[in-house]
Amino acid sequence: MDRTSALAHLPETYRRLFTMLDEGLTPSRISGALGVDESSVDALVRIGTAKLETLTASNTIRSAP
Amino acid sequence: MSSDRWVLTGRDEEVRFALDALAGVTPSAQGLVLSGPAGIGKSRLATEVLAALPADHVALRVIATRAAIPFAPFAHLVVDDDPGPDGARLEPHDLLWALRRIRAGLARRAGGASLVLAVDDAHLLDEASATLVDQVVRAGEARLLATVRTGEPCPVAITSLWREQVCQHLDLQPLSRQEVGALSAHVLGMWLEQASLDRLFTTSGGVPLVLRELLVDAAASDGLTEHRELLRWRGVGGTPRLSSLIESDLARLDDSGRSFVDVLTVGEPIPVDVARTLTSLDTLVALERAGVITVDEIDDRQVRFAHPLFGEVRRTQLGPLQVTATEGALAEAFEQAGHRDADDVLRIVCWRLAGGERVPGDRLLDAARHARTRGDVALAEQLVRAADPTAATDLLLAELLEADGRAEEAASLLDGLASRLEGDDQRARALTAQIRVLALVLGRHDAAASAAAEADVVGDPVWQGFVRAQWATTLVMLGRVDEAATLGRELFTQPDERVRLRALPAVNLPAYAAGRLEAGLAAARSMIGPALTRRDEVPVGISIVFSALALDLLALGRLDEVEQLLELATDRVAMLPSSRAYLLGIEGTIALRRGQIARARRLFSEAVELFTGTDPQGFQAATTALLAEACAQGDDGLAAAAAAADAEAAMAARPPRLVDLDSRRACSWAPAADGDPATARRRLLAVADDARAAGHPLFEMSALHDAVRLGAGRVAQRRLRSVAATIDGERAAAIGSYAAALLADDAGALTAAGASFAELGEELVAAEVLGEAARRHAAAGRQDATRRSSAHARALLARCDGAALPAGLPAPGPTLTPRELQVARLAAAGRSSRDIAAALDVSVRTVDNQLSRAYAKLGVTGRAELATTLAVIVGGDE
Repeated sequence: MDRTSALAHLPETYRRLFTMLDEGLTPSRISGALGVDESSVDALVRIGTAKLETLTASNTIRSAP
Repeated sequence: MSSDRWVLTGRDEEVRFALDALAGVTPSAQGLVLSGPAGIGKSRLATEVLAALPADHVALRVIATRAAIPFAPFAHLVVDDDPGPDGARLEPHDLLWALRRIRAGLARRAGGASLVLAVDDAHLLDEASATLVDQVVRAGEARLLATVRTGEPCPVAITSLWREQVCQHLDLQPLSRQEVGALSAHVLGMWLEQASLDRLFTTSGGVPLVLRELLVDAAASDGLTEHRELLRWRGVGGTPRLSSLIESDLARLDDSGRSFVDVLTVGEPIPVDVARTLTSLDTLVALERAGVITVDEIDDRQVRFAHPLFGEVRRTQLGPLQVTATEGALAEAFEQAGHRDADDVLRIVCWRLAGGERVPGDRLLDAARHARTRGDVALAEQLVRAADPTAATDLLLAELLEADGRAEEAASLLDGLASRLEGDDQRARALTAQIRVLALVLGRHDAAASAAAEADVVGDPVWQGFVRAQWATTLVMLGRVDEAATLGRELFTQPDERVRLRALPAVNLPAYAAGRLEAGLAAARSMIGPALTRRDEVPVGISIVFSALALDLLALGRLDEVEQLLELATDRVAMLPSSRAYLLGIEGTIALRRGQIARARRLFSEAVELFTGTDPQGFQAATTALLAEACAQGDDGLAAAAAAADAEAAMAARPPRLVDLDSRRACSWAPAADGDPATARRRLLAVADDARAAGHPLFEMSALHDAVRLGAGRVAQRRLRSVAATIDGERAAAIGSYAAALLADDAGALTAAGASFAELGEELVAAEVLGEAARRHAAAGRQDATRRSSAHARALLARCDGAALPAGLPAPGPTLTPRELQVARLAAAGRSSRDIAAALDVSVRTVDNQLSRAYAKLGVTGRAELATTLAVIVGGDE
C-alpha cells in the first residue's frame, strides 16, 4: 500500500497529525489543533510513523471489512 | 459475548512504545504517562504492557483513589516489622518517615530487578503519594507507568514528570474505523456489513469502552441480525445499561439544559443562530462546558452532541408525541432564522409533514430531489407522493421507481406521461429513463429504440445529446459494441462537454473490451474536470467517470490507483444503495486480485445484499458471479456453486449484457472448487471462444488466463500468449510472460513472471506462478532455486487471507522456526554470531547451528543473500 492510501487508514488523529506535519506546522500549533498536550506530540509522531510503516508494508488497503 | 474476546486491538505500536520507555530502550525516559478520556483503554493498555515486560523487570501496580489518607495506595508496602512512631495521626516528620519506609519497601519488592511502578488513575493520587512517585522516579529507583484521565485536575508532582521530560507522555487516541471493525468481528465472531460498521464507528467514536457497551446493548436487545454471512447492526437498543452510561452526564444538567438536549436529539445538527432561538446562550455555554455539546466552527457553526451516543440513547427514550411537538418547534425556528441550505429545507419539510401540516408542491419536489441526491429514495418517493400529481411530480416519481428497481411501475408511468411533458428538459429526462428501463431491465428493445429515435423531438442540442448518449451507453451495455462505438465517437466530438461526459461509456467500454486500455483511460481522464465542474448539471457524471477509470485501471493492473480512486469516490458518488453496492463490488475486485479472498467474499456478499431490489443497472448478477469466484478461490465449493447458480439465474432473467462474458468466466470457477477443474477449464475456454467471436480480446484473455491457472494445456497457453500481446498494460504483459514461460518450460522465466504479479500486488496469482516455478526447479534437481521459489510462494500465500491453492500445485516448502527467523534477521542485519549469542543469551554454537538450518531451508549460502531472501519473504514466516 502506498503512503497516501495508508494515511487514509490511520486513526483520525494520526491522519491529521501527518497532514499538519507535511504542512510544516509547529508542535505547539499541532497540539492545539489536535487538542492534546504539546508534550505528547513527539510520542504521537513516533507511534503514528510506526502505524504508517505497518500499513505501507501490508499488501491490502484494509484489514477490516 | 464473553469478556475474553475483548482482545487489545490497534495498540501494537503503543505497546512497543511503552515497553521501550520502561525497559530503558529510550534512555532519557524514566517511564511513561498514558493520558486520555474515560474508556479509551489506558488501564487495558497498561495491563498488556506490564505482562510483556522483560523477565528482569518487576512490576508493582497500585490504583489511586480519592482517599484522604496520605500514601494510601502504598500503605501495604510498610511491613509489620517496621515499627512506626506512636500516635494515630502522622505529622509532617512522620510523613517523611513513611516516605522513606515506602521507598525501602519498593526496593525490597524489586529484589535487585528493575522496578516498574504502575499507577492507575494517577490524577487521583494524594499529594504525599504524588511526591513519593516523583522522588522514586527522578531518583531512578523505578520507572513509571501511570494513567491519567484527560481533563481532570492532576497533582503537579505528576504533571511535572512529563512536562520536564522525565517521563514520556502519550495521549491515547480512539481506534480507527478498521480497528473498530476488526475488534467487533473478533468479539461477535462475524464481520459487520459496511453500513453497520460505519454507524457503529461513528456512534462509538472509536472509544473501546463505548464500543463494548454498544455491542453488549445490541446483544441484549436483539440488535444484530445476520445477512449473507455478515451482521447488520440495527442501532442503539437503549438498554438500561447503555442509558446509565450517559445518565451521569445528563443528570448534572438543569431543566433548560435537559430540554435542549431533547431538541438536539430530534434536530441535530442545529445552527447556532437557530439554537439561540430555542434556548438561552447561558444554557448553550453550560452544555458546552459540561461536555455535552460542541460547536463545529468549520461546518457553519453547527451545534452537535459532543458524543453521538448522547443523541442515540436519548432518542430511544423520547415518546412519539414529544418528538412531534419538538419537530414542530424546530421547523418554526428554522423558518424564522431565514434562508437555509438544501439539507435544512429537507428537514423542515419532513418535520412539517410529520406534524400533519400542508406543504406547497414545489417545496416538496425540491426536498424530494435533495433526498434522492442524498440516496434516500424511499423518503424522496414519500415526499413526491405527498404533492399534487403533475407532469413534474410524475416524472420524478418514475425516476425514483426506476432507481428503486421497480421497472414495470416506472415504464407504465412513463408511458402515460408523454403528452403532458413540458419543455426539452422534461422530454429528455423521460426518454432517457424509458431507454434504460425498456432496454436494460425489461428487454423491450424495439420500444427502447423507438424512444431513442424520438431524440429528434428534443430541440435543445444538449438535452438531445443526453438522449443519444443514453442510447449509446445502453447499446454498449447490451453488448452491441460496434453500434455504440460509432455513436459514441460522434457524440465525443460534440462541442458541449456535458454531452461528451454523458457519452463517455460509449467511448470507453468499446476500448476496454478491445484491450485499448490506455486510450479508454485517456478519454476518461479528459472528463474528470467536466464531471467535477458540471456536477449540478450532470449529477451522474462523477459516477460515469469513476466507473470508466476504475475498470481501466483494474485491467491495467494498477490496483493502488484504484484504491485511491475508491477513497475519493466514496465521498463523491451519490449514496444510493446501488451506488454503494457498486463501490463495494470494485473494492471486492481489488481484494480478489490481491488474494484477500475472505475479505473479497465479505464485500461481494454485502454488495449482492445491497443490490437486492434496487439494481436498476443490473449489476447484481455480475457481483454474484464474482462472489462465486471468491468462494471457489477460498475452496468453498458449496457456496461457490450456490452463488454461481444465483448469478446464472439472474443473467437469464434479464437481457444479455456485455459484462456477462466476465460473469460467466467468474462462475466457471465453481466446479474447480468442487474438485472438477476439467469442467471449469472447459467452461472458461468456451467463454474465451465467445469473447473472441464477439471481438473482445480483454474478456478472452481473462478467461484464458483462468483456464491456464487451472491447468489448461499448450493450445490455451499459446493462445493466451498471443492475445495478451494485444492488450495494453503491465498486467497483460505479466500474463503474457507467464504463458510464454509455461510454453518454454522455463522455471527462471516463471520466477520472473511470478515476481511481476507480486509487483502488481496480485499475490495469490504470484504464489501460484512461483509454485509452478518451484516444481520445475525441483524436477531439474535445482534444490536451492526450488527452496527460494517455494519460500517466496509460501510467504506470498501466507499474506493471502482465506485463499486456497488450486489443486495440483506443489505444497509450500519448509518454514523457519521463530528462533531461526530471529537469528536469521539479526545475521542479515550484519550482527556477528557472537553478538547474536550475547543478545539472545545462548551459545555461539547454538547460533551457528540455527543459522545453518535457516540457510538450508532458504537455499542461501551467505549473509548477503540471506538479507535479500528475508526481504522477499518477510511477513510470511512471522
